[in-house]
Formats: sequence, C-alpha cells, structure tokens
Amino acid sequence: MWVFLPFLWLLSTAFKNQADAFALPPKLVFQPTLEAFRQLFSGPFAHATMNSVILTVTATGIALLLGVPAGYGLAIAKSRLTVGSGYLLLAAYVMPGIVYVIPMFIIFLNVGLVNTYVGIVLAYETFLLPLTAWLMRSYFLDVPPDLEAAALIDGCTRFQAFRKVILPTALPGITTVGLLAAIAAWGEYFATLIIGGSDTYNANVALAGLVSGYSSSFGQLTAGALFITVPILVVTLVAQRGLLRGLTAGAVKG
Amino acid sequence: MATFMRERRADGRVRETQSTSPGRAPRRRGRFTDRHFATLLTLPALLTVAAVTLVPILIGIGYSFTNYNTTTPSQVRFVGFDNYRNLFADPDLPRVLMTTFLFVVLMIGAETVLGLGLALLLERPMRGLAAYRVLYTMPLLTAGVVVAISWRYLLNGNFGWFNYLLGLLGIPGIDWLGSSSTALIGVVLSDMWVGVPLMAILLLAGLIGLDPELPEAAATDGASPWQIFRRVTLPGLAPVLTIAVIFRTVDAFRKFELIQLETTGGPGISTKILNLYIYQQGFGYGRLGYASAMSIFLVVLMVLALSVVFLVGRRLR
Repeated sequence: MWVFLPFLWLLSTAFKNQADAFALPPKLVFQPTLEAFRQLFSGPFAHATMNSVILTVTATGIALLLGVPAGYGLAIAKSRLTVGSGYLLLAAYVMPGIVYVIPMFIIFLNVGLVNTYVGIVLAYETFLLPLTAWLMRSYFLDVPPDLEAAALIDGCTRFQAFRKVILPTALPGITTVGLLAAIAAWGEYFATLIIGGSDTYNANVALAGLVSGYSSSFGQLTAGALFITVPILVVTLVAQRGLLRGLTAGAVKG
Repeated sequence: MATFMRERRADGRVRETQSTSPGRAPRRRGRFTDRHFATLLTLPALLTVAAVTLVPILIGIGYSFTNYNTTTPSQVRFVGFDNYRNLFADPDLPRVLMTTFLFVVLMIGAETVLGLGLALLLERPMRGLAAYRVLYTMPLLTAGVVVAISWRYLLNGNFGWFNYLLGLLGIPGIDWLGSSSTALIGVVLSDMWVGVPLMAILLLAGLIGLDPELPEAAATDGASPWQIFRRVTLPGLAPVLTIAVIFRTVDAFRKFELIQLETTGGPGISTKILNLYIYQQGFGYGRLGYASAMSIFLVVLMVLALSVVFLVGRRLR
C-alpha cells in the first residue's frame, strides 16, 4: 500500500483538472482529462524525452560492449592485477558523482563537450560501466568452467570460446544487466544537469525544471513524472525475476 | 596438442587450465594463459573508467589548490591550501556537517531497522511472496526525480495525501518540508520509500541463504526468540547486512535530487547536506576551486563512515 502511494497519486493527478488535483479527501471519481499531457508535450519536454532515449541507448550500448567482456575477465581473474582492477572499478562506482563531475565540467568546458551527447555519455560511463562489469561478473561465475574447456578441446581459441559458447549461455544475464543499466541511465539527473545544456537535457532535468511554487504546472509535473515512470514499470513487470536476481546478486555473493 | 589440468581455486571452483605438452610445437599465436586473457578482456573497461573517473579526480585535486571560478576562468591562480583553510573557517560548515551526520544516521537507522523487520516478516512461508519482492524493487528503479517530486507534494501540509492518511489515523498533519524543525525528517521519510524495500529485499536474500536448522537447534536448547535473533540470525546475516548498509551509506553521501527538489536545502539551511552544499557553492556561486576542495573532504568523510560500518559489521559476527 505504502509502495503504491506515490504511483496512485501520480496516476490520479496527471489526469485531473487543476481544482480536482488539490481536493482532499482525494477525488476518486473525476472527469479524466489529457490536457496536462497535451501541454507537457507542446513544451521542451518532448525534445528532452528524445534526448533521454538517445542518451540511454548509447550509454547502455557502450557499457555492455566494454562491461560484458570485463565481467568475464573479472570472473576468471587470477592475477592480482585483474582482481585489483576489479576493485578499482568498484571504487569508481562508489565515488560520489560530484567528485568527478566538477573537474569533468571544467575539462569539457575547455574542449567543447559541455551540452553535447558525447560529454553526457562519458559522464554516465563513470557509474554504468563499473555497474555492468560487476553485475556481469556474478553471472559469469555461474557459467561452468567445463563449458569453456570443452570449446577449447574442440579447437576454439579463447576468444572464439568466449564469443560462441560463453556469451550465448550468459544471454539472459546480459539482458538483465542491460535493462538495469538502461534504467539507471534513464533515471540519471545529476550529471546531466551539470554537463548538459538546453539542447541535451534529458526528461528528468526538464521535469525538475517544472517544479516551482506555482500550481500552473502541477498537472504537467505529474504527467511528466508518470511518463518517465511507466516504461520502467513495464520493464520491471516483464523482466521481474531476472531484475530481482541482478539487484541482490552483488550483495549476497560479494 | 593441448592438455588440460584441473586445479582447485581459492573459492573452491574447479577450473580447467591449459598447458602445452613438453616437446610439442611452440604455443600457437592467439593462445593466452588465463591471466593474459582475463586482463585483455578487462582492459578496455578499465582504461575507459580510469579516463572518466581517475583522471578527472586527479585533475580535481589539482583544481582544489586553485581559485578557479566560472565567472573568471582566465584568472586561475594557484592558492596553496587556501581552499582547505577556508573550508574549516566556513561559518556554515559546522551546521552542514551536523545535518549530513543526522541525515546519514537517521536514514540508515530507520531503513535498517524497518527493512530488517520487513525481511523477517516476509521470511515466514506465505502466499504471494514473489509478488512482494517484485513490488519492493519498484521504488528502487523509479527515477530519483520522480521520487522527489512525488514526495514533495505527498508531504505537503495543505493538500498532501500523506498528512491526509495520518489524519485518518487521528494524527494531526504537519507541514513536514515547510518547517526547519521537521524538514530533515520529511526528507528521510521520502527516502525510506526507496530504502526500506531495498533493505528488505537484500536482507531477505541473506535470510534465505541461512541454514534453517540452526535457529531450530537453538530453540530446542531453550533459547528465547530474542536470543536466537541476537546470537544466531544476526551473526549469520552480518555479511549481507554490512554490504546492504554500505550500499545505503554510499547513497546517503551522494543524495542530491531528493533534497534539491524537495527543499533545495531549506528552510534556511536545515536540510543542506554536504553534497548539496558543494553543488551550490560550485555551480550556484561558480566557486569550482573551493567546491573541488570540499568534494575531496566529502570522500574522506565517506571513507571514514564506511570504515565505521565495516568495524560494526565485524563485531556483529
């Protein structure tokens, strides 16, 4: 019930007119209206949503491309160097964003990457890439080592064994980790706010821009929040089991 | 021809390692030992992460010794330890640190206790457990901005649903975020919507992994439920509990949009935690040199807090 509270509030307020939205006790029966959505998408929110899609897809793609092999490397790692680099990735993930975002902003200002997709995606990789690599590691630990050995006996090189045997086995894991990374990228606010600009702001920054003391944008605010939330809810319901495993894997296996 | 040798690794897994038989053809190109192959796979990610985190952090440490200001970027000067001296002379800093401390302790305390309680409740065999677990992942996956906006208005003193529900229970409503004495509690209440279910899921996974026979054996030996919890369940849960609290601690120190969008640190500076203060000094007033110095300080504080969590976690075992 408690978990549902914000969702119920968003759901009902987004379709209400201004007077109904503030009514207490909450009006359960009301004339639904799409006015808020119409207003919302005639503003900068439409372009920001497109930016969200572009940033999420690009950043998740890069994170998987580099993070999946890295996850396997960490899973089979024996040398101190590789194990140590795993902890470096973890340390990068744990670091508060402000520590790298301030210097990154100064550097990007000098090389013209502020308010560009490239700049924002680079900022996203600071947390997406370590996240992907570590979550994939936990999936690869479950792949039986005999599988790789068998492929090697059959004449595969280690790269071939990884690409043709290990990767297909880990596909469910890759999908889950990709979804988790995409959800993290979709919900990102802080780095986008600082590195981005009016051309590249994502939906979260556009939505936060609507927060003000004035009630004029109240419907738009909830409509936008709902719009950002619905894709995540859908993904969560469809991929529920895998996501849950991914979320707890890091904590239980260590 | 390659032969395979089995060897048992430290973690108990058996791995095949490859070695070439003596007197055979030299190692073919493209064949690596385990070590090189693992390094090669990890390297691209490692270099990328180093480029986007390690390099900026080192440069940031450099900027923390300058007077970099966004309004006068051409007049950057080396100022030695001035920023660090100013930091400890900053009249707002004691209050900000106190708020940060209170926020971290209240948030972690409330989320751990309630999360643990919820996990113990869910551990009993019951119908619909899977549904609960999915339900509890939803807050965590909801965008931070959406959480902040929703709770900003749910906690509103005039039309917020939260107060309305409290009213139904006979508890008078408070303008949580509007008063400097309750705003921090309001922020923690909002964060608990994410933190308590997350804690519950993680701890539940830990509880399920425990040996179910141990508590039963303790009960036959005449231990009270509290003794079983304190002497059997808690020590077994300690590793997972420690990691879960570390997750939340890391998150507490970087908390941003929740407070920025609910109160912008107010009323007054009653909810201004260090992370938010750094952002406002750096990007509100453009004092990026000073903000860099403060961000290094933030990391030091976080590492200290994490050490405390580690030590407490070890004593629980």
